[in-house]
Amino acid sequence: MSTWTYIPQLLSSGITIGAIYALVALGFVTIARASQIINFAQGEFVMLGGVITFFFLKVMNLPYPLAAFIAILIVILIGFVMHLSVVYPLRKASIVILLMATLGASIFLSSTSGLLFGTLPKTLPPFSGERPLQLLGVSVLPQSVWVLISTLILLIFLYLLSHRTLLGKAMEASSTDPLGADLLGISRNLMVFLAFGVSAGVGAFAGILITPVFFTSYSSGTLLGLKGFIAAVLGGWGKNSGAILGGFVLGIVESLSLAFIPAGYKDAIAFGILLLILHFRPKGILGSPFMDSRRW
Amino acid sequence: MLKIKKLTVQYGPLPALYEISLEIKQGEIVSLLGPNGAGKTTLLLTLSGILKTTEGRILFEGEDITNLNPHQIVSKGIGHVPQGRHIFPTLSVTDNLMMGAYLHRNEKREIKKQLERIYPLLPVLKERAHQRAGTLSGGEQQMLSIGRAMMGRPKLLLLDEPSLGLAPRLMDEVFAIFRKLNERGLTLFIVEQEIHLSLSISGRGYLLRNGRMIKEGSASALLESRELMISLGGDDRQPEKDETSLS
Ligand SMILES: Nc1ncnc2c1ncn2[C@@H]1O[C@H](COP(=O)(O)OP(=O)(O)OP(=O)(O)O)[C@@H](O)[C@H]1O
Ligand SMILES: [Mg+2]
Repeated sequence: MSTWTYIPQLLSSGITIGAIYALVALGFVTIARASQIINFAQGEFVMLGGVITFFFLKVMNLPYPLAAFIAILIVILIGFVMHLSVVYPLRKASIVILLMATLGASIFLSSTSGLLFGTLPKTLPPFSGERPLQLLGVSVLPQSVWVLISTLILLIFLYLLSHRTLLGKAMEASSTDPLGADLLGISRNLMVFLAFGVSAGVGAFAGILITPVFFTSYSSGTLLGLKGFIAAVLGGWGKNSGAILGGFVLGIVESLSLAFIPAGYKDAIAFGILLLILHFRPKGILGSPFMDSRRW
Repeated sequence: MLKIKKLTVQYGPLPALYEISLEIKQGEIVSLLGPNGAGKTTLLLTLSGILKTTEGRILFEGEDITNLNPHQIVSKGIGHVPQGRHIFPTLSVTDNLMMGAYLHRNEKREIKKQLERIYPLLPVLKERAHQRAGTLSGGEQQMLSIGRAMMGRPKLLLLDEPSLGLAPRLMDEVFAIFRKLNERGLTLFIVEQEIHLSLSISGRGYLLRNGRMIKEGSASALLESRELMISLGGDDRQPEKDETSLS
């Protein structure tokens, strides 16, 4: 059999992981749009979503949906606390200092998770069954279908939240013109605070979706975070649509590459893509409101 | 209505405003004039709580509002039309207006009433209701910025160079709107470089230069003052110097 016969299979797993990258990227973009901050603890929100759900499901023996729900709430709370304790006190500091602060927060969160919940990799049961479904001649894990459908529903929910509600529009206003918004009483600090909550929630959601497919350990947030960041840059830094597109493109390319190169090099693909995009098209596929099209 | 006492504001170690005092009474239109870099925008941003003062007091309707947060100041009834408009380009015209009413977001009926009051003055905001604000012309964006601030139902409106970038005909139109707003009871504090236009609707004015208030008086007195001519004529000579010696 030639490698080509694996392509549909790889495509399907690429779409699955792509959905996760898209959600992580969206988390990055939500915070960046509100505050210009690159939150390097984004991957830790994902990790915590998986690990805390595991804790409530396996240790506290709560029902699965309840465990997931509580985990999301707790991670949102962690996002809020991170804003209040790390980002808000540094609101007047330069972007570089904020960057280091979020990096510090990310190390703090992953170590704390290791201490509290142990360093062993954890996995969650699939939402329903393990027997692959046959779709168009490709065998697909039911969890992959769950990932895709849940991601779609979350994206629609987020879209409605940001385009159909007054609060969403206020967040948009504050991100496109902070001074204009502040002068109307729409507090930029409050909007950044909310963005941290939304981001953390989206991250935790992604973590719960992906843990049944891949193992999650206290340290797995770092790589996921970086991949999500690359996806956001690839699609167009600062654009929601770019984050989603970048996530799927990165997932699919990374997965398809397995047909041609040894699996051990898979992670290098993402960084290769980052270098290429930064060199040839720094504003990303869909263009970026924060980066000009100049090449360096 | 608004009283500023010995206000000093600094960017870093350098004061941009030095011991500024002024007063605006209910129902007045007051102009603040001064050359580029005089500190006019700095003063308005401080009034709105964006910049913090190191010394001095700001009183609004007898209440000390010094260094309050912007949203507290907006809710006390001070609206601000910033220099450069600062509309939200990706939102529709109507959504921009709704953002102006953000602090009153639950008073649906009042918001509707306020829209009905604003539309006749700024009809373009109704005609372009669903257009993205970023696609409006410069003049239309200025109208939107004014309308948006009005949605907060201010008692005092701060206007930072509202004529900037407008064609002369449009300037007249905008100032006619200010006059109408004032007739309805709104107090206006206008920062302008269009001296004549601004003083033509103002009762009084202040002249700011290098962060210091160098002159105040009635509009007509200011128009005739030597300081104004020197300060805004693009001419940096001191009043004491003899002008004939130059020719
Ligand atoms: N963010 C800032 N940091 C440092 N200095 C500033 C800042 N903003 C303004 N300044 C300085 O403060 C002084 C007053 O600026 P301001 O913008 O208040 O002037 P202005 O009277 O509004 O001028 P213009 O007519 O050009 O708008 C200027 O010398 C300016 O260079
Ligand atoms: Mg100015």
